[in-house]
Amino acid sequence: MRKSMTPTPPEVALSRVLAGLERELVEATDEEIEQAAQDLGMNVKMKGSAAFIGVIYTIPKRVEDIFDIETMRAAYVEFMRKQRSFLPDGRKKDRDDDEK
Amino acid sequence: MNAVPKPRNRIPPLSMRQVIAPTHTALSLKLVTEMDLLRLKSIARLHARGLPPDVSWDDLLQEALTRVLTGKRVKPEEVPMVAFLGGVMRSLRADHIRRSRRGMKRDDPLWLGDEQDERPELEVLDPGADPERALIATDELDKIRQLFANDPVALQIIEGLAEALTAEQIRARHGISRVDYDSARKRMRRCLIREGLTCGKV
Repeated sequence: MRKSMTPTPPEVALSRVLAGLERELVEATDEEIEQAAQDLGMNVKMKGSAAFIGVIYTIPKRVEDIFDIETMRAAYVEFMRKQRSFLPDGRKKDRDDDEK
Repeated sequence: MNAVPKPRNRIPPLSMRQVIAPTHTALSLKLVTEMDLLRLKSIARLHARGLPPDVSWDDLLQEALTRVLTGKRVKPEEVPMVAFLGGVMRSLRADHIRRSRRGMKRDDPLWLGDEQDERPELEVLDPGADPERALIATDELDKIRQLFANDPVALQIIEGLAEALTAEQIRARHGISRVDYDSARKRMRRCLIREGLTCGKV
């Protein structure tokens, strides 16, 4: 018998674990899926359930898909202006103002 | 007060809404059920672990379905569709990892290969030779263990899977009864599905 064994490379170990867990998910029953969804407050029988995001419904991936980006930029400028107004006078200058 | 940006009244349609997604087609053709899609979503998120950042779980899922729909991958009669698609996603995962390795090599200024050469490169499969991939895999394995941190039997199963042990071997090694083993598998499935159905990034 060998005294020491070569450890399994992590990539190989990960592939094996993923393959094993994949088998588990393939065997998952509808009831198990419903229960897991319920744990998350999702009802998979409801039309438009969040469980189907990315599968049947799209995933909003970009900020432009959710917010009007121009309004957001203007709001950010306004927010920064207000933040600066709270600073004491000496700190209102930009860090690199002296270099201008 | 206009400081807080208001959400748009209507989310503009994404490209996925303007074309028919493979998931929609597969559903319409009754190749899969809605519940199958949730199983596949969990499997896709599992296989997306440790992939290059330009590949997401939905890419894996839609690509696997596309391959089946276009006939590039043909499902044997006796294999259930979800199991088959799971295998396709596993294979896609391996392809993406190989692609990222090739990409790394081509970015290397000392690499002497021809950029235009599309012939498959001879690869020596030595998973231990890429320290970055090894680190990513270690990190992902840790994250998987964390999912089952409060479940010692599940952790023993994970370790057994990593060593390619069979269910019987895992049970024998740790003295786990069949009932306890099956209960742990059930808990693991529920946890994995929960992970798969959440909306955040893996």
